[in-house]
Amino acid sequence: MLDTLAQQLLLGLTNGMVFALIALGYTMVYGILEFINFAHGDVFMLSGFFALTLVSVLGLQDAQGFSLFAQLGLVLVLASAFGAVVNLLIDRLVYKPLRKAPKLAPLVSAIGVSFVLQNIGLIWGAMPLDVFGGGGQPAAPKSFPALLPTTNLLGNSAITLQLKDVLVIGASLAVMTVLYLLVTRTKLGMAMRATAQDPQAARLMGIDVDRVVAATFLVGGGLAGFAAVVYALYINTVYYQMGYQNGLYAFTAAVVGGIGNIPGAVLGGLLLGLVRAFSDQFIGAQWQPAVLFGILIVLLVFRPSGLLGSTAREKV
Amino acid sequence: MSTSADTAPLLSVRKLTLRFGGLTAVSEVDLSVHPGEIAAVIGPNGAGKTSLFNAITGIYEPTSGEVWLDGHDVRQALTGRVIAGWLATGLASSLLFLFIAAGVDAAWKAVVKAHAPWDFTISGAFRDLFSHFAGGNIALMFGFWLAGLAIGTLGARSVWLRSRRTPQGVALQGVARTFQNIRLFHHMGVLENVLVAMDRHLRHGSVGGGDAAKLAISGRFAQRAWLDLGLPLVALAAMVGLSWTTGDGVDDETLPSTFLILFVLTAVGWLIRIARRGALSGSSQVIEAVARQEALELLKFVGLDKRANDLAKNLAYGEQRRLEVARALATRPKLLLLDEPAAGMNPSETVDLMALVRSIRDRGVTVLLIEHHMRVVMGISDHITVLVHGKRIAHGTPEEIRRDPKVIEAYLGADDGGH
Amino acid sequence: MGSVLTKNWKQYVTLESLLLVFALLYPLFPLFDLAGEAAGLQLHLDQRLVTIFIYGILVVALNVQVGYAGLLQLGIAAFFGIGAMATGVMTVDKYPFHFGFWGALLCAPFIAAVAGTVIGAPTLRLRGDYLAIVTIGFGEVLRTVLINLENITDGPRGLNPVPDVWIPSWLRDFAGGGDAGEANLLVMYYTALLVLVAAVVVLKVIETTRVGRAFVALREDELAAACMGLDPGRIKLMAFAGGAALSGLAGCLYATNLTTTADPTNYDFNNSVMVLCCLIIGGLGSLRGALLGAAMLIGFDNVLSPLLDRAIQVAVGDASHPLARFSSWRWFLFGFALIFMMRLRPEGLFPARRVAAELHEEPEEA
Repeated sequence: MLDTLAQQLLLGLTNGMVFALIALGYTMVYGILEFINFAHGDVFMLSGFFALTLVSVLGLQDAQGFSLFAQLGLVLVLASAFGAVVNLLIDRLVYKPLRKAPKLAPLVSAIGVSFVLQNIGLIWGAMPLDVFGGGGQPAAPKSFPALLPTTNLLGNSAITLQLKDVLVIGASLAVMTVLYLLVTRTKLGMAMRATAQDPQAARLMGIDVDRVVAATFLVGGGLAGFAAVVYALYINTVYYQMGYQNGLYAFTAAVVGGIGNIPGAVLGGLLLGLVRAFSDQFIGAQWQPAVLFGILIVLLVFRPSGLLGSTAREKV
Repeated sequence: MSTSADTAPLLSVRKLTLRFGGLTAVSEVDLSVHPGEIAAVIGPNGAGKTSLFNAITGIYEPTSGEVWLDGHDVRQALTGRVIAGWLATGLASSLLFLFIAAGVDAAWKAVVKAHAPWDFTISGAFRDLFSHFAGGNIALMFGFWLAGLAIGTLGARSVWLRSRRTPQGVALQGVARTFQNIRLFHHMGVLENVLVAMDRHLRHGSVGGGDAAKLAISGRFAQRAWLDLGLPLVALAAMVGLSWTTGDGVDDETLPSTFLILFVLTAVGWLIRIARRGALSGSSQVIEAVARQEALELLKFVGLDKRANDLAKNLAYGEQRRLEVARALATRPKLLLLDEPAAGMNPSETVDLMALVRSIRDRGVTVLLIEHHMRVVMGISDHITVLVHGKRIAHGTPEEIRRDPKVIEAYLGADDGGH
Repeated sequence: MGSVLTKNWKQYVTLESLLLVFALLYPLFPLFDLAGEAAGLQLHLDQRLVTIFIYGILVVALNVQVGYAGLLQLGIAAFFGIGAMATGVMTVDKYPFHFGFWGALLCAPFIAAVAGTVIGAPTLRLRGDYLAIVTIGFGEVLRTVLINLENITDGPRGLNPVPDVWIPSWLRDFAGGGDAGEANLLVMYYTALLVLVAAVVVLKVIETTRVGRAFVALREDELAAACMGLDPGRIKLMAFAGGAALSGLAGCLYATNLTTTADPTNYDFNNSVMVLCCLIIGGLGSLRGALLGAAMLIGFDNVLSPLLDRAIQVAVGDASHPLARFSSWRWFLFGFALIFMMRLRPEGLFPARRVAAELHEEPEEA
């Protein structure tokens, strides 16, 4: 029993880390633009496809030892860059012209972008590569090669701790620390926080809001790209609809933590990951959405601004 | 006007404090406004006047302090009915949780699917349901039931606590306001703007100054309204009930088919009637017509009756301000809050405005206003309260305020531009 | 102010009368079908139109929530599904309820409205964006519940057979000329049309009444409306529950038309977004736009996409290739449609005048 608990705790933590990484992208954009970037989950998905293609091109499934880790690092960096660039492009091409439009316009556009990206993912899956199973079935999940050794680091213990668990948690923590330092210690981070608090005032103080928005989309996309590689290494599949469900859960995590609140997104992600792991174990995986969204509604009733969010007041 | 000290105050603000993060916008302000007077709040920019208005009208939740109107706290009172509402929500959610614990799917199988369709009886269903529950994990089900009860009750309480003080709640108690930056419904007509504010009276049919004859008419029409929509629904229900009680192989179709035809005919008749008169019922048609009259009278009062059919955004600035006043009056307030009504007006418009405010007071509406224009304030106010940096520094008649050294110092110290 | 003559002429061209034209056209459909066959098309106008009518009701229902009340509803299909499933449970042979079609038509909207109230009451007072996530989430929950409660819903197979619209047998004989299938189609056609016309008439009237005014006021300035005594929470809940009820009605007709409650994936997010597409392309807040949007998109899916399939197969050259089907490219179309509409014409192709003005106004900076 205790072993099961510990195992689910580990599973929940790793899952939660991925949610948290995606949720950060949602929450940062929301904090600054007050807008739900529905396409964010699909940037995550596309980065997964990009990473899988890279793995195939680099021949990573056959690499060993140092060269494996070096190239894996390269894949991580490139996939993050890919996610960042895609996210920024979406903002510049689609959202930016709608900055002054009523709230519904960017939201509906984001749903549109989400569908376009999903369709790109579907077509991407039809590429005639070995990793895509020859591309014969674009909609089917693509298996991401298990690059890391699957030996149990705890020896013969009943609890399985693989290298990939350590990598997911370690790398995510590292990235979050970097993000934390970026937001709290740098000039850009200060500008981000100021803009999130009051865009008008920030503009008056000479902050280039447009640059801050661009940086936010870059960072958010980069996190999504990073999360995609981590997720693919962990779950070992990539498919064109994975952005929808993971994005939905990640956004829920952001709301649970308090939308617009960066530590809140991490907390919400971890919490949701843990709840998901335990509900899968004790209630049944088929009830997963019901449990998670049930918790969301109960939380919204008791704390509408999320766990760490503050109540915003409308100006009159 | 009145010697207000001996009457009970209409509005009384007690030690009201409003803090945003580290900033204290309003600090322990007391304010009383007596029925029938024109009171004013003045102070330099950033003194917290609009914040005070927002706290009074329920837009902001005060950090501390109270707002009383007519001897009652403007917050919704905690009554037995409210608590009963929480409990009802709790009971509903406890049932949901109970069924989740008992397994809806399994319960359905045990209750509905256990019998052939024709053997199903309602009493049998209850028996089966109880035996299904009895065979389940009682402790788990009780735990879930209790959790559901707690979550539902506390959730309803938590929602209620958040909505104790709302702008609409305060408005319904008889406080109306205008806004410093005009907030009309710009794409609606002038008359429609006023009608929106009469929504509650339209809903209750209490338009036309409570004219008994008109209300009697609308009462009679109200009965017709039930017939209009009720007849088709009754026909449909009768048909369903009849074909249901006669069982599967409907041998005698005469009655059900009669009712079906009756349903279609009455429903189509109703649709044609409402399409032709443009109202869901005769009574709402009458009420709407009377309300339009009343709204037009209000527009005449502020001098906008000629522009009733224009879009609000096409009005001139001063006209927009007057429309806001008409819209606020349409809620039939006891107390009217005017947030800088003279802002942006030229001297002749300002004179008109002063007359308008006086005639509003003469209609029996108490007025509390924020104003920079010293001539307006000194000219029409019975009492003036001075706020500086969120604190009340003086209170009295215009004469007293004019002579108050603290006020003079505050106004000379803070170059405010208005006088 | 046109001349008296044009005014007289125009007053008869209303949405309702245009819809009633469809009632008169029905006997001519076999002719259209024959003409279509000559052109190599399987038209089946009556069947296609029934689908369009049902989706028309659904789009109009979404219009109540999104267009009138400005609520970000992204899970309309869930309420559609509730209506369909309630109809299935209330009418199929194997359950003891046997309400029949008309009983289901009476109850399904009520059940959907209750579900809407339960979801809406705790969440509608919150920040508008939260509703988007809650409604998507509710759609997901409903899909899993429908699949997992297999004893009730028969899971992916769906409950069937859902009975046809009941009418007296003599009328049925008269309508179909003895052919049962023919009679069912005709009765379904007129029932769906009648429900659609009723929904349109009632909503058109509501637009002009105090409730319609309250919707506009709330969209324009929620705070000012609240300060005038309008309760935003109550009005939004009314719109949400009303829209849910109307979706439930559409769901009831849908299940009856298919004679099954169908696979729960018919009520998932993709379907919700397609309905949203219909509304946005047609025109938010505009009944005419909602109906034309539904006709365009659903008609497109049913009539044009088979043609496109053929064109793509010719282009790809290999009919068995997974990308040789239009469905592999379908989401590009919907996605780009949403993006370009929001950019170029956010009020839709057939806009409501007032909503168009609202959407083109830059929101005031507070």
